[in-house]
Amino acid sequence: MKEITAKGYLSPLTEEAKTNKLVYLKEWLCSTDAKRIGVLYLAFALVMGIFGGILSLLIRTELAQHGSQIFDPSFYNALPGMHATAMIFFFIIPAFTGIGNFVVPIQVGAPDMAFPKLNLAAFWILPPAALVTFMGFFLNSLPEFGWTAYPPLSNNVYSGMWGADFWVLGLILVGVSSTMAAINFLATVFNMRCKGMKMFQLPLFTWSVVVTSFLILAATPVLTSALLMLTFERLFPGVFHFFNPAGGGDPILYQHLFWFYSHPAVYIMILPGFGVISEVVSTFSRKHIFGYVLMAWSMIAIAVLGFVVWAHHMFTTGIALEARVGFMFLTMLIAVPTGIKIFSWLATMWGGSIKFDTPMLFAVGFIAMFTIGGLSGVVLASVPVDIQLHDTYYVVAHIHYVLVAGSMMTIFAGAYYWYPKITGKMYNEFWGKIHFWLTAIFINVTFFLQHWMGMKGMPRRYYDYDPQFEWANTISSLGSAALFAASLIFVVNMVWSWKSGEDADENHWYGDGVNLEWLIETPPNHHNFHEPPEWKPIIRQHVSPDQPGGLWHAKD
Amino acid sequence: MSGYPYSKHISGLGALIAVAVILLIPTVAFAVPGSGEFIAHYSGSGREMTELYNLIAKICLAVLIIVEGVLLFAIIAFRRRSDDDRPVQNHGDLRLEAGWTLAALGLQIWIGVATIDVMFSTETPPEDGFDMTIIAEASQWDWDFFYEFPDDDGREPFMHEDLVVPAHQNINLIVTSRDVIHAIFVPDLGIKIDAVPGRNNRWWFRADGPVAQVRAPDYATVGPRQEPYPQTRSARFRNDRYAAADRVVTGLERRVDFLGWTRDVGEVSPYEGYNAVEYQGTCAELCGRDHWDMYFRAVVMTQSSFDRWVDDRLSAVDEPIGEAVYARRCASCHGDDGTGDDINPSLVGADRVINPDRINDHIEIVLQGEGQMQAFGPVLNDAEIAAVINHERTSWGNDGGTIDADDVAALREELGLEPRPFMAAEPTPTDELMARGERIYQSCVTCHGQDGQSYDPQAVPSLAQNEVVVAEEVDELVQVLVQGRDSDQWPGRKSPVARSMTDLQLASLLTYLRGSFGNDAPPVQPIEVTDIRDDLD
Amino acid sequence: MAPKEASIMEGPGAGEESLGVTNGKIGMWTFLVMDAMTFAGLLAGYARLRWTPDSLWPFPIEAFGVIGIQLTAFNTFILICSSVAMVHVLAEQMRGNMDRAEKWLMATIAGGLIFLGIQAFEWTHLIIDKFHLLMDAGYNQNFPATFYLLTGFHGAHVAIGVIYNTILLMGMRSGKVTEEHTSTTEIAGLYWHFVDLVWILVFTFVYLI
Repeated sequence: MKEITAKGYLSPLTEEAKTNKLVYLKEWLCSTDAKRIGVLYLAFALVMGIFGGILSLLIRTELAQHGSQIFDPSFYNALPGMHATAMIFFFIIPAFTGIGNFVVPIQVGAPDMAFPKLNLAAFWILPPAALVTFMGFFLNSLPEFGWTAYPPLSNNVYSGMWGADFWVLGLILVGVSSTMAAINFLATVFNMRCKGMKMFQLPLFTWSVVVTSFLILAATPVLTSALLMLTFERLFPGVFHFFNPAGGGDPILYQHLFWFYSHPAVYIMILPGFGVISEVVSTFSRKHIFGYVLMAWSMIAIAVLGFVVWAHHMFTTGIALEARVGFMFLTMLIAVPTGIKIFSWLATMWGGSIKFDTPMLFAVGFIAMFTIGGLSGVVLASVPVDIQLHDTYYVVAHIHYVLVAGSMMTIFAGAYYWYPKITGKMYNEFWGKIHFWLTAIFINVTFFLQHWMGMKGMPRRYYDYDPQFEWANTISSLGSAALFAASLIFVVNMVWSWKSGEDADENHWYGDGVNLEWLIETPPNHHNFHEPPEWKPIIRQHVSPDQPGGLWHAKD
Repeated sequence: MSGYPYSKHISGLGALIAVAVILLIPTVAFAVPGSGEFIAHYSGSGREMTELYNLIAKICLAVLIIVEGVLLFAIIAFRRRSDDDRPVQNHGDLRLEAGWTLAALGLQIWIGVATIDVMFSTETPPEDGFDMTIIAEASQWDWDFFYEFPDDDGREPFMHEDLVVPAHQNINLIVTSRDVIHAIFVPDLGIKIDAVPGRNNRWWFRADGPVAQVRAPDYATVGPRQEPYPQTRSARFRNDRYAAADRVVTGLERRVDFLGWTRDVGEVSPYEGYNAVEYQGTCAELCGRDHWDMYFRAVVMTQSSFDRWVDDRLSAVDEPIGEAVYARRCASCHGDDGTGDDINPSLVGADRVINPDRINDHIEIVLQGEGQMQAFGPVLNDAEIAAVINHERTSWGNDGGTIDADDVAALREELGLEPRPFMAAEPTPTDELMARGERIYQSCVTCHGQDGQSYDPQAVPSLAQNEVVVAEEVDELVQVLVQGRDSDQWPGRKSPVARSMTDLQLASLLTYLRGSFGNDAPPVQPIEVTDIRDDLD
Repeated sequence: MAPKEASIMEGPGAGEESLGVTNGKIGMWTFLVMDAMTFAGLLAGYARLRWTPDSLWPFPIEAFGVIGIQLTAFNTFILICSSVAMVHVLAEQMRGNMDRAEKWLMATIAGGLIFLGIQAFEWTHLIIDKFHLLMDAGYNQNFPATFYLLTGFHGAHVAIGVIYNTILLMGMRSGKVTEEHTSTTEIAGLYWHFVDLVWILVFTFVYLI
């Protein structure tokens, strides 16, 4: 048999594994090396991302034209919920966890994560959890209540299907997995930093992972408790009535608990993306990040504010006017730290020397389009406007500008950015750029008109709609097909280049990478560093404009 | 890396086009007149929201242009010209950062204050009180609207399937639900609020009438901004000064051409004879299979038309319009003019339709169907069937005599069909009741056993062939479940397990008990449970 | 409970800029943050259902009776004593007196078991003799539902803690946990104290207010 000759952490650990592919595979699947686990996470996320993409295509096919196309309303009703579940819990969050697993230990100068076995366990909970969550597909009893699962619709009377019980169980498992990963990240970053790596020397990606981990730690258990209550109500309908008004319960209580998790979940999905963009913009502009300290604090501010705005998802449920005013102002406040981040990226690019390789293209595309998503968020924060736009396609457009143009594009940016480091090979730059252009264009084609539909009153999760929206829906459906096709280019590029790409350099991006991962060999060795590294602190603080490092300091 | 042969073609010019495209699409879309506009134009509160939306959208657009402009400039101006470019490093600037932080904060406060203004002005109850109250009750998947008038009005409350309101009146809308969470949504009037079971949510509005409609197309130029600022909040909602428009409006103005599948708009509107304008109303919160098909008509009438309509409802309340039922249920096969086509027989001059002796045949085929024809017995109530049969027998030159609802009811009984009188709730299919009941019964199996056979008949009665369970009247069974029991037949204590169940849940459980374990008693509808429970209280 | 397993295992090596504690301790602390939020979610649900107008919620004294509250107060006392015993385990271990540490640990475990036993007795009593009377009197059905969910979830924590401490005891017996491994005991102690602390909250919410 051919000998496996991989370098760095990719190389087989034992002599046996060098010739026997099965042993090599087993070494991968049971590895406690954070880098290998990171790759497993990314591979898993890729598969689930394609699955979620196919579900979205099914939705868009049904909606492509007015009238009934291919499904009955019951099956259609299950699709948006399954698509959201697949994308949120099994694509975006694992993808960022994967990138984090690979990059964070190296960036803090640690040989591995703090709890390698916990890390492996956290990953291996995911595939069974996915199986359980989507069990409805095998049992032909998909839950039809969307990903929000509001009772009473989700209780056993109105959704008696077993698939729903499995779905709830699956979500609880995913929560356990992501909590384990979060604990691991926090212990790693707090306790395993190398010499010189103070907290305010950490690269911004690591910072974003720290903040995200705190969000996961504090928010996920609340979802778990809500789902526990829902499960008890579903399984023992005569005894538990937490959300059943006839039994003295309160359906709105579930919404409070659910959104207490699910609003921070939005930041769980976007903050690591912010971190990736900070790294990419800085590298390709050949500049240090502008306003590092404020960038770090603004992430913390977003996280803290993220916990006190959940009720803005519930403006139409009839909560008191005064409470809504409070939640509205807090919601609007989130735009301030987000604005700081956008402007700081712009200021980082300003005066730089910008090279447009694929990661940077995605970063620029992200800034350009995420701004649209952020601003439609400002529109939605205003209570009377939100009430009218609530549960319409405007909201669908908003979340997709934030999650597709936000999270997904940052995942692409991160994947391209660290690809040479992860694989030791270079992806195909030409097809990378094609991928970017198609993605950028078709995101707008797919989602922009949905703003219009929402403003004109097309509610979301509709199986069939008013014929006046048909032309816009058709365009949107065509756009989504093209967007999916573009993503397949990415998949092929990643897989093909791993086998046949050119070899990559250590500090591949023109020698501009400053963080520790660019200072070690490519791909990294099993324990990252040959000897404990030492970080030479770089200027992270503000300086006055005329000082060295200041804004208007004369060029020497 | 210049090692990639294609990349340099793309990078320079491409970057430019890229950003241009990214910028262009949204800007173009914003620029198309009216496309960026909210739809809620036809009520006082709706217009305020539209104005607020326009303000925020403009602020956001300005910010968007600034950000994209800076981005575009940076992309062009600071692109890497040679591989040895080494830019000047800077690490931040407190003044600049504080600047944009405060600017963002200021914008947000501006938007926030403007919003609060609109919130209080649209949500505070009007100073001159409500003119009438309408209760909207949602259920899977339909709306019922209950009309209530002030005490001194003297008119009886009644129920209707559409939201019909008088123009320029303060309407107090109370929204609730019988089962899951729904949301009432009338985009044109700016109405949306969740219908939550066990809660009464409130929304109030003051709709423009058919006359004020005249100015709607040029609303953008005659905005309320030109009005003198009113002294009281409620006065801002009065558009009576527009009422003096030139056009004299008579008859129905329809702004709705789609009402889902079960409520086909067709050609005939039940409001044809009134001076009114019709909008589309719908459900906005996911509520199950037919969430998308909960359309209703939101009709705004002039006050005189509304009064006439109320009188019509109160006097002729049990007369469905045969023409409307025909248009909704029959016209798709038999044609608008009853002539049918190759497959579907013509009704014009057909023997069954014109022969007075075969009148029962006619009713029977509508009730039970035949061949291709669907059975309408379970779908339409007696009055609707009578109305549509009368329509068929007296239209298109037919002259076959008429019937009334009692004839249909009598025939139903003769044929052994489920009774379906007018004004009764929709029956829930037995399959559905059985499925739900089976699920609920899982809470009972620990005592009563999976197969209804108790492990210890002395302590816990078996349910199979239990005389209380299979009794013709379910009153006693309901009472036992709702109130509990301690008796000689059932020693020990039966806890009141069903007290907190909804009527639907309880009916499902009863149906399951009566139809399983070898029992063969007829199913129980939620409405029966409701009646029995009312008696118990 | 994975974080506990991990806490026994040492990380690949502490970094230079570490916080001066073991990884396991940080892991347990962060895990406890998460667990506290789970309880917070359940308690928030409890509070929302109880403190609503017309919620028809029985006063604890009606629901449990004076004796019932006193019994649970005694149970609380047992759990606090068990926590104190856990402190002694660590103290003795630091002094190098493993025999006494083992005895204290047995006392800790016994405390946990007594707590569970009394709780099991109480549950049975409430199910058989009490709650259906309350339900017949027309009180909110969510009172027993939340009661069982909260105390049951906490009881599961106690049960896991007992198992955890038993594993620690077995480690001490077999000589795998020696006086060197104070951090292992400390982490187990963190969990046990947390369970104690949460119980005081649950007790206050359910039995006292």
